[in-house]
Amino acid sequence: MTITSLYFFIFLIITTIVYYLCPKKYRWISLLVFSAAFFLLSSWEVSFYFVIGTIIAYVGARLIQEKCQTDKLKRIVLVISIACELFILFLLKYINIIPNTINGLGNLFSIDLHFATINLIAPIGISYYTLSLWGYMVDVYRTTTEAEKNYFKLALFACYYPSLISGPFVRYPEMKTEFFEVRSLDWDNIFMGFHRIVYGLLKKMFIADNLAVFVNVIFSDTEKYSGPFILVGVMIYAIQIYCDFSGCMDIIIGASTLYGVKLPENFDSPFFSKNLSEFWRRWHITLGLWGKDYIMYPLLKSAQFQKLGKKTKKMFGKNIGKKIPVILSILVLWAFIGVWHGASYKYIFAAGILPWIYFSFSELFSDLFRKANSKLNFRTDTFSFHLFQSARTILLMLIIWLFALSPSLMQSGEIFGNLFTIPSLQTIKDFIIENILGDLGIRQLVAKYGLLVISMLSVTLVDYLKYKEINVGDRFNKQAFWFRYVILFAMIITTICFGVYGPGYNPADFIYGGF
Amino acid sequence: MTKEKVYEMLDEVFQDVFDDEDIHVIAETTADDIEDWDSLEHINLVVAVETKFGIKFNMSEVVKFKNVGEMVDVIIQRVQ
Repeated sequence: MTITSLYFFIFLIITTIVYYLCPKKYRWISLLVFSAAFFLLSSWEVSFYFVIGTIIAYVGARLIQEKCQTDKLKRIVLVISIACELFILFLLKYINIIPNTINGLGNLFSIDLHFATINLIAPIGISYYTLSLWGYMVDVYRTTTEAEKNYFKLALFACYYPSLISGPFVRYPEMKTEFFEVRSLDWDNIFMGFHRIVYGLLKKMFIADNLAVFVNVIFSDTEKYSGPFILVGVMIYAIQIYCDFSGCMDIIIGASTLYGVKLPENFDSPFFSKNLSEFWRRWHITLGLWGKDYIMYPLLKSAQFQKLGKKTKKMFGKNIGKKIPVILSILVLWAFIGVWHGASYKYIFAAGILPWIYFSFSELFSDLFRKANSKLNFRTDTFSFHLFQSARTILLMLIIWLFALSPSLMQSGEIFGNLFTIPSLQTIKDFIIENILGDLGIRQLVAKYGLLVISMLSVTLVDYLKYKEINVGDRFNKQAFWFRYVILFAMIITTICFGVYGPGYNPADFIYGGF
Repeated sequence: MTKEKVYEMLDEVFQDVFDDEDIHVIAETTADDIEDWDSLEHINLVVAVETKFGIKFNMSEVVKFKNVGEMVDVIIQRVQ
């Protein structure tokens, strides 16, 4: 069951009704039952791993809190529990990287090694679930939260189906009150959830999936569709991946709002960011926060990194020296994020190494740029400078996305090469006839692309207002009933008429669902 | 240890970490008041404070400090 399918919406309606019919005290149990049902209907094979993983976290956390007397013992239990969780994740998601690497190396030397890969079941949400439990155990170790004594309550936290599909990452201390607080039916939640779902569907099924058609065609043959095609293609991909992922988040957060459970936001107008650090604070927010709290901070605070910092300060002077441990910890963080994105070198490079190079560069040279700006008397508080900063940030991200779009890291060189060749006139003509005009009549064409442009401009406007800290969702909910429903009706009709769905279309392909 | 003494020692730590002899912190000082005080420098600062006072903060405290005053409260608690 995927979240843009009709089944999902029937599931959502039934579960919402059942949820509010349940006695208030037991509503959290109904959420656990819904989650179990969702996974049994989607990919029942993973339920077994979910049960095992939750038991490990449950036992591990209670041992840390109740049985371990010394900090050393606590740390040992923590490391063993996390290692067990990661082992399951590795078995389910990453095991094939070993035979693939060996085969790849063999191919380089023209030897056919033919190491067998294992046919893995697609474990929906397994990485979200593993990292959430990892965070929970660390929180118990740090005494940020108490170990949960009720196994089923912990199971709900780990397996709550909306957040398990493709995030956001949740933390136990925050979610505890959301799940277990006794609350009555609030119609505002129902309306807000519904609005959010409609907006998400428009972004995903109308904008992202229509743009995906162009992206898929262009990047299936970049030798033919070269130069400007690639350039425009990657720009369209940027809009596509944003509308795909943030639309998915809108649907998920909206669905959860129906039950009155507030999930953390995962996007905050990333395209208006002035630099890459800001971009990553606004894109997939909960992943960044998770990495900072559970990987980077502990590393920087560790005795080894502190020792290293002292050494590098002596060697390179205070200013550069203190940045070296930071850069190293960012390398670990980004390598982790790269691996998390996918079990292939392409992702490790595009989502890990490349951002790390950007960050290290900006860390090392930020002082220099600042000094240069003040020496040149450059005004940095103007709209035009902000525009320049945003364009620069997006350009750097486009390079990352070009790597992500390549079939493999080895082939990315070809795509970058093709960027500088010019396609034939015939190719351009064929592309327009086959992919833009299709078999639509002139009226349908104007309607479809007109609406696509209007929708994209609307999403940009909503994001810009959000960037300026104006809460569009709240304001929208306060509008008159007729006004809200005219807009919602228009969004629904647009999605139904021009959205990409139907037979032969697999709505499961949310880009981030695969992670 | 008195609060005044803690602030005096903190001034030294802040001046050293941020390389600015003019920094003087008060309870209400936050990251917004000191230009270089970002999330990374925060960790360096915390470790420097730990070394100066011979104490350890736990991670939950490190991420929750809202201003210098909150940090001082924990320092006084630990030192005693």
